[in-house]
Amino acid sequence: MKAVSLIDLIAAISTTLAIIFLFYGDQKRNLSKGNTRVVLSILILTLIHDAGNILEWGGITDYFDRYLEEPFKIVLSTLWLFFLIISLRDMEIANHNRTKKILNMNIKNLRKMIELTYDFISTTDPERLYRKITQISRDLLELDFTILFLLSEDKEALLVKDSLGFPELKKDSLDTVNENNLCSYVVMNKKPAIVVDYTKENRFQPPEIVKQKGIVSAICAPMILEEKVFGVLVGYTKKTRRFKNYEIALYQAFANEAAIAIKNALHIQELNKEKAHTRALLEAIPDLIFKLSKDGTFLSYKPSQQIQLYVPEEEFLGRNISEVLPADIAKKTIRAIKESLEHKRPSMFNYSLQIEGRLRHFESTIVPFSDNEVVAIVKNVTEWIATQEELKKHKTDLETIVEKRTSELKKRLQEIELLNRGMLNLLEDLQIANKKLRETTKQLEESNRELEAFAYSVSHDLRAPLRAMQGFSEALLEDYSDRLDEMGIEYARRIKEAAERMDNLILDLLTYSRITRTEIRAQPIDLGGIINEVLESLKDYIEEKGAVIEVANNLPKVRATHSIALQIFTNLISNAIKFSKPELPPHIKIYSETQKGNKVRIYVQDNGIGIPQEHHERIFRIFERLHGVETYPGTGIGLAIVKRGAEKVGGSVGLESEPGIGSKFWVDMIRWNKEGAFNEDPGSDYTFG
Amino acid sequence: MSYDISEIIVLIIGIITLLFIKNNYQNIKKLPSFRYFLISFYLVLTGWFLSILEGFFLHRTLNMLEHTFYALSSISLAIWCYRVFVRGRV
Repeated sequence: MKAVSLIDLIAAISTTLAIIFLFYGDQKRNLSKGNTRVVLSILILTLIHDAGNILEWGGITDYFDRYLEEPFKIVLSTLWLFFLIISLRDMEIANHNRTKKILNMNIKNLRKMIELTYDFISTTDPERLYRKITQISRDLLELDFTILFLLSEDKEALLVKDSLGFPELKKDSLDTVNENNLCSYVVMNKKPAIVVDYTKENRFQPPEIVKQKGIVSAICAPMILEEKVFGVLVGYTKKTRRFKNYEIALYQAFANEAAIAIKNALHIQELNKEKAHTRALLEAIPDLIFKLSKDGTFLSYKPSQQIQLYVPEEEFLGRNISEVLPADIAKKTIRAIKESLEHKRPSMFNYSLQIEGRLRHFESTIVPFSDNEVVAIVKNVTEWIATQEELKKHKTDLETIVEKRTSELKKRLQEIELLNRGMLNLLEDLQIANKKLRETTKQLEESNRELEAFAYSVSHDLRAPLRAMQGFSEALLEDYSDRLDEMGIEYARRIKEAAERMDNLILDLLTYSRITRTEIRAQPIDLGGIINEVLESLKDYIEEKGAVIEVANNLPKVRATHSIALQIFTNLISNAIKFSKPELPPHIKIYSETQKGNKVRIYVQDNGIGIPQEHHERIFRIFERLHGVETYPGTGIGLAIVKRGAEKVGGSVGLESEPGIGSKFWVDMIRWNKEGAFNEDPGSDYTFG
Repeated sequence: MSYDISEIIVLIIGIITLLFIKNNYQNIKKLPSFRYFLISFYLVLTGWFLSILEGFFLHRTLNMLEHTFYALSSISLAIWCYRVFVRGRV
């Protein structure tokens, strides 16, 4: 008995707990009020039933068992059934309400989607469409920010096309797909995703811009087109928001709709471009283009500025070709249309028409356009045919001319051949004459050399008797002057002087001859040293004449031989001293001046008597003298030696002179440098020590 | 060897409820924590069935079993109430 009592006690406690849970639980909305009351009734009846059992088994009273237990059980079992019936009814009502709500929502969304679709269809400009999509998607779910991304062609990046609430986001800026963010997640999984709270989000990091804007929740949907992700639509809210399933579905449907609209807009844009391109191409074609039906009725045409219509537009559009053009042309056209449509390839034919009194030629190409329509491209070939005929005529003329010219040329060629033969004979004669000339020149050079050798030999040999004459005349004057009368002494003196002059003349001639014959071996000659040497040799003569000589500090080195350079400047300086004014001591300046190329010019300037202009050339010839021997003694060879010497070392001589003022003789010589070539160094012109 | 007519009525109502559950099981499944509720009902129904049987044989044993099933039914109902009204399980 006690065990049963304990079991009933447990039952009673459990039932009491259930009643407490029912009263004090805060989740009563899980059951309807009616149902809750039924449950409470069941619990109370059960508790009473348990209490009755406890009382009975405890021996207190069996009243409950005898009178109340059975009716209680009936009521209790009825309540169980009742509870289930009410529950089902509540469920049906709830289902009905939910269905109605969803239906209303769906109708509302459907209406919205229809409106959007219409809006999308009417927007063909992609830029305007992007803006519409961002605006509508924002309004659709009452979002704070929206961004529309399109996937790049390589599928590696998302390009921002438009955004609301992000003025800092530039169009076509990038967002890499592989990054760990919401949009990349959506692209890779091809399904929408939401973020309830970015601060508690573990799947991906919020972008920096999201943090800056204080964004909390986000919804993101892939724009799917033909089962491929085309772009991404993402919306953000500043407040925490748990997007509902129907909202996510709506957002996804909108994103897909937007993808189709964008694709269409891009297609339309591309088509418009193509259309403009085609129109431009058609405009550029100078031909007339007609669209004709299978039976030859004119449907439309593209005019040409270059081809005049046979009849006005209103007289051929909508009419058959046989009513418009002459019968033979119409027949040709119909045949070409048939052939073109049958073989699905272009068909061509030519025809001529009399327009405004002139015969015009045309080339027509029939191209199939559809199963029942063709396009006829009409080209005016009148000019072309005329040109062809002109060309044919020119060709015939040209052939005649060429034939005529060819025969003339043949004749000329024969003449040239004859001339050639004559020329060849002449050339042979010339070669023989040239050979003879070379031999003569060689002989002449040989005889010249012999002559020069002879002159040298004669000059040399002449000095021996001269020395004898000098010696004997000196002996006469020294040893026999006391026995000779004045006339004898005078004769002896004259013999001596004549011999001396003769010797000088021979010496000069020898020098001249030697310079002519000397083989030149170029070497560097320091002109400063040469001048010093000359001045040293003329020291007595300079002192005798009281001459003042200024020499520039660093005269250049030149390409010459020592003997020739010494001879040149000895003659020039001695001449400058000799041809001085009797009342004025000679003042001589020696200096150099750089010339163009590799030349250097050395001046010997004096304040002497000067030389008239007309004698400037003459004085360099051999034996030429301007003054008598008595006034200015000399042989008349000195300057000729200077000229020959300068030429021998590759130079030249000249002078600038004014009678009564002085002369300035110059010698151009080749400047010497280490390699033996010319040197750009200007030297020390006009600098005197 | 006796039984009360009311016990038969209770049993009939219980069987009707059982059939009702069977026919509307898909909808009843939508009740919060329905398993605990149905277990509680099956236990009480078994108790009712045992109260009839005890009139024919093994009176004391079946009576004890009857009360045990009532107690188990109450426990299950308490759990159901806890889950529905306190924890808010749906």
